[in-house]
Amino acid sequence: MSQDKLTPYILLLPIVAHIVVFWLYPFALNVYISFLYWTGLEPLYKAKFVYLENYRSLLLEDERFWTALRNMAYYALGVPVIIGLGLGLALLLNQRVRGITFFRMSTFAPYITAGVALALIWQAGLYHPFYGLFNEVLRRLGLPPQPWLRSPSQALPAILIHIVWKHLGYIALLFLAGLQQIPQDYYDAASVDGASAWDKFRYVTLPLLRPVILLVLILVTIGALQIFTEPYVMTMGGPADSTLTLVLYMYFMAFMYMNMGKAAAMVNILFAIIFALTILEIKVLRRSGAYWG
Amino acid sequence: MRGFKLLVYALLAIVALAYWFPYAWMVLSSFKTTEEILTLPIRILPRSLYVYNYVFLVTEFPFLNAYINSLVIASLTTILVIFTSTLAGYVLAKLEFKGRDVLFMLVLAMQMIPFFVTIIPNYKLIASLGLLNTYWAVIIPSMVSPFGIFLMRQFMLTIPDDLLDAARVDGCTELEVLFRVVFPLCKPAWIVLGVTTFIASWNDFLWPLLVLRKKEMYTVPLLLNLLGVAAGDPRYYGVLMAGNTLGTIPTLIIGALAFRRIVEGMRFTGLKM
Repeated sequence: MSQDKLTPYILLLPIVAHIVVFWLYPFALNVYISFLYWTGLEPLYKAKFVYLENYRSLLLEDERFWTALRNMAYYALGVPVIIGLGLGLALLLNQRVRGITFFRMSTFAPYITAGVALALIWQAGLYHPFYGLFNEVLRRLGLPPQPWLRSPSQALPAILIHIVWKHLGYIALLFLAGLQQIPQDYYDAASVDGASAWDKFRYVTLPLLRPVILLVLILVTIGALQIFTEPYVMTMGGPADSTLTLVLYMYFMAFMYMNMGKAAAMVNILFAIIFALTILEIKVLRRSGAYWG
Repeated sequence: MRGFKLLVYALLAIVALAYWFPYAWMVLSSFKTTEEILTLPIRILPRSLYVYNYVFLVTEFPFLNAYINSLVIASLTTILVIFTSTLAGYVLAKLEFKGRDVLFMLVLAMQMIPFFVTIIPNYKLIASLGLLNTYWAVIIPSMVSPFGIFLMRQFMLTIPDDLLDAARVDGCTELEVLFRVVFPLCKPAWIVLGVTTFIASWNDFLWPLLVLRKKEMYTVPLLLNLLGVAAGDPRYYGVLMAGNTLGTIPTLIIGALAFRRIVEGMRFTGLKM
């Protein structure tokens, strides 16, 4: 009998050990590293304890850190765009017409394609100033070709468009799953009451979709703040840091400038931002629910 | 009503075009010679089925090697994730013991920790274990998936306890209950978890970039990144597109085959949280 009582613990032990070693311990260790001056080359115990120096220099002296933060705020502009477009696309993909599965799969394709491959297709195939498709189209229309990723003012919006394109289909599928859970009876009842298509969307669809909207909002915000692959592959954060993100800067700081402490501090600041935004979104959307029904 | 349907199809056609033209451009470019690529105005279709980009890809770059590396890493990761998730999911859903809820909360909390938070300490840990430039450097940190445990637990909850008790009454041991009753029912959940894990592992970039530094250990995305740098020289532009084409095919095929199940899985986990 006592052996039976132990069984669950024995079965879970390797998994809990993994969680502790590869998630909880690193999470805590990262906080400790952020108080150190550590190149990562010498053993950890030899690193100098510098208290809050890494945070101070980041927040008060590091212009690139603030540039990265500003860029992240710009990337965050994509959040409402992707939610609005995603909802619209979901309504379109919810139409019961022949072949709809093909169209649903089409928008899903980039989500399951390697981000590196897509970023390279867009960088070399579409955005390239000389042999890219976009400038070829512009030339044929008699319009001036654009520098796209090579211009400090165009690179960030260009990457943002690419990222919205890549993730939109997945977001639409999440909304679609939510739409399909709304019982048809509700729409029928609304029709009987003489509701227009807009009324149905406003007073049936939107309120019932609220949990999904909240979920998507949180997912997209967390994702937007962790962008790395696209600027790394397409621009290396340039030109002139115009596409630098916090995770990319953290990567440079830790693995090129060998300043682990400062990189760890950056990680913690980013985590705090994500945590605060997630809580804020939950609070705001729950409260606005009172008006939605 | 017919007008409405036409409008729907027109919009769907625009959407399909917006989603497929980069892929089409990739495939078309992979069959073009360097002269064709450098000639303005660009011709949309290649003049002939020029296959040397694919030949160069395999002869001048360790592309086949990267393909094998990716296959091994993604397959092993998938098998391990299915194993650990099923085990943990079963224990958390079907066995009664003290601290079960605390452990489940731990799994949920772990889902809240973004991956980048653990990068620096985990990199140092893997390096100090001497695992850099090995398959294990990529596989070990991702062999337990909080999403997978969550998915399998939710799925196990849908299996009635009576079914398991009936098997026990019939004289099955706990292991037999697992193998004869639980596992056969798990197939749909395993497909969802397996496909999503394989695709995520195949496409992963940042972590392999850190721990796989030797070219012969590169996965497909790392090799594509290398090709992207090489394609600054237009002679390698077609080779890059050939690499992108071959590198994106596996996940697209798997994703298409399992599409319905993936969508069901999204409904199952994403919306019931």
